[in-house]
Amino acid sequence: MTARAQRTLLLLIVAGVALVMAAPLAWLLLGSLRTDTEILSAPFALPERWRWDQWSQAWTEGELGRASLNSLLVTGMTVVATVILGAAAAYPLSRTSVVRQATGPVFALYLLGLIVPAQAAVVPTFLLLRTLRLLDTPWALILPNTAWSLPLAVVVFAGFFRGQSREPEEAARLDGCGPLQLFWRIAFPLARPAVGVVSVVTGLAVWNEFLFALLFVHGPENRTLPLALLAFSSAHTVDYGLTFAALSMMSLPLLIAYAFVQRTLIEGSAGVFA
Amino acid sequence: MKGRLPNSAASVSTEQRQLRLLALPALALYLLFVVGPILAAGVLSLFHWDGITPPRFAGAANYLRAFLADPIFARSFLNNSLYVLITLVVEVGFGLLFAWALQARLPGAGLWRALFFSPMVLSLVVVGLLWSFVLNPDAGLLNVTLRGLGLDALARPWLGDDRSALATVSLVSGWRYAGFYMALFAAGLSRIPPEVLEAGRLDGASEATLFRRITLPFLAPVTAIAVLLCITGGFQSFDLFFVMTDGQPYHSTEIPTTWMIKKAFNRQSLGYGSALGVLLTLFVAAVGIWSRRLGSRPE
Repeated sequence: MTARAQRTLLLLIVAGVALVMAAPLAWLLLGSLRTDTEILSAPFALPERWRWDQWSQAWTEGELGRASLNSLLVTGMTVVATVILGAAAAYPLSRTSVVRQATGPVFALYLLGLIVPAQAAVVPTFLLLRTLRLLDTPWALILPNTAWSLPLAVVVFAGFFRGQSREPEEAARLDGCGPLQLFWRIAFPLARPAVGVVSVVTGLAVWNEFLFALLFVHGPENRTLPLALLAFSSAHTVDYGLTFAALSMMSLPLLIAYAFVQRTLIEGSAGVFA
Repeated sequence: MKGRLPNSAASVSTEQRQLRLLALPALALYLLFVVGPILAAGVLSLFHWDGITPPRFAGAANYLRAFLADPIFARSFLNNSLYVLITLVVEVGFGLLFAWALQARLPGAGLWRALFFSPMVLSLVVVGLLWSFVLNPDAGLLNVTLRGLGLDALARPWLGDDRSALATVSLVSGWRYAGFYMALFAAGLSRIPPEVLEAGRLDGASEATLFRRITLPFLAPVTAIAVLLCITGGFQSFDLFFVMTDGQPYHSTEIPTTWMIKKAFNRQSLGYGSALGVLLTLFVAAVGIWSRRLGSRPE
């Protein structure tokens, strides 16, 4: 087989696999605009009549507007807190000439959070939130999500700060800046690539977070999207079109946003580990 | 003069204090919501407690119960191990194949890469619900397609049959995560100097030989990380199992996390649930340490 034929064959295989992998999503998006009978008779045909009413019905009945706002609030607060706290925690760890003794143990402590399954800590966390009277509030998700996002943020920021050129800081130091100013005025603003990676990776994880949401938030007032979707679909198990509309509505914005940040996300999530 | 004296002990300790102050908020939150609960789980595991009446000291009773009187807990570890074995192939294996195929600079490589990775942005709840519909015995896309192709014999209740449920969930997991491992391997592949492969090609080596002799050895460190992530991550799965089967049918898809949550929150056995969590943590940590040793062992 010639090299050209080999490449064509490889392209066909890749395209075929991609098509099969994309099929469930295409089925979902098409189905959200078709009736149940249409979905069952021909899985991939275009709608006879575009059933946007399924989208609006799912939006209202599933109270997806409120759930979206809750998810935005929880995700936004968690990302901002994780970025600022994570960077602030990583900066002293990567300027080891100053805080030498503590660096090793503190870093090891953060690594602990990467190994231990969060499930093992949910019972005490539940009791803690109950004692603090925070169950069923956005804080029941913001606080644990931020705490569990810190290890990754600290690792990424520490790696970045260590590789950072010290010259701007040395210059500012001669001008009389203390360590707090050096961090906030110089090192942190220069760490934009790390801020980007930590924001995208943390934001996506928290937006999709399910376990804490399932256990710490019960009422419909404060529940986030994954929970609202689960509740809606268990109430409409035989209603394909309607559930598809709810699932599509919640996936489409994410997939569109993904189209814009895919490079950061793909390379960032690989870069964190490799 | 405003500057500080470089070697003055007083100013160094001011700096130290300020830097500690900077690290403090994160550390406090982390201690309160991560380290504290982990330690508290260890303490709770030594008690019988329903969360309401006063706790009773249990000693090692919860652990003995896990090992001696709870066959489903043992079963859940076996299920989870099988799941990890399958996902090592369908997530790590396929991820490597995808990365390698896209390395060949095919037309539209960026698009294929984005497509393969796209399931990673969907919440596992959406993935689980979507696939529950795809796998529906009567109206699901998979069985409808199989029947349409005349392969009626292959159509089956994928999640309802205890012989196929675990493998089916594992394959769905592969659909979600293969793109992640592709990204990991792509990062590794991009570090192989092209001259090395070129030299091999000039010597007349086939692509398969090049893959085995050059690419794979180069990827060894990345592969070690991928395997570690797949194993330790696999034992921390919960969402997909909870949404798709929640242990059904007949506990054939029960994994330690789903079982633990059931015990702690549905049965109000906070002590026993915590003990199961501690055992899972010790297991995952041991696997992590063991595979790191394996990865760093000189060959």
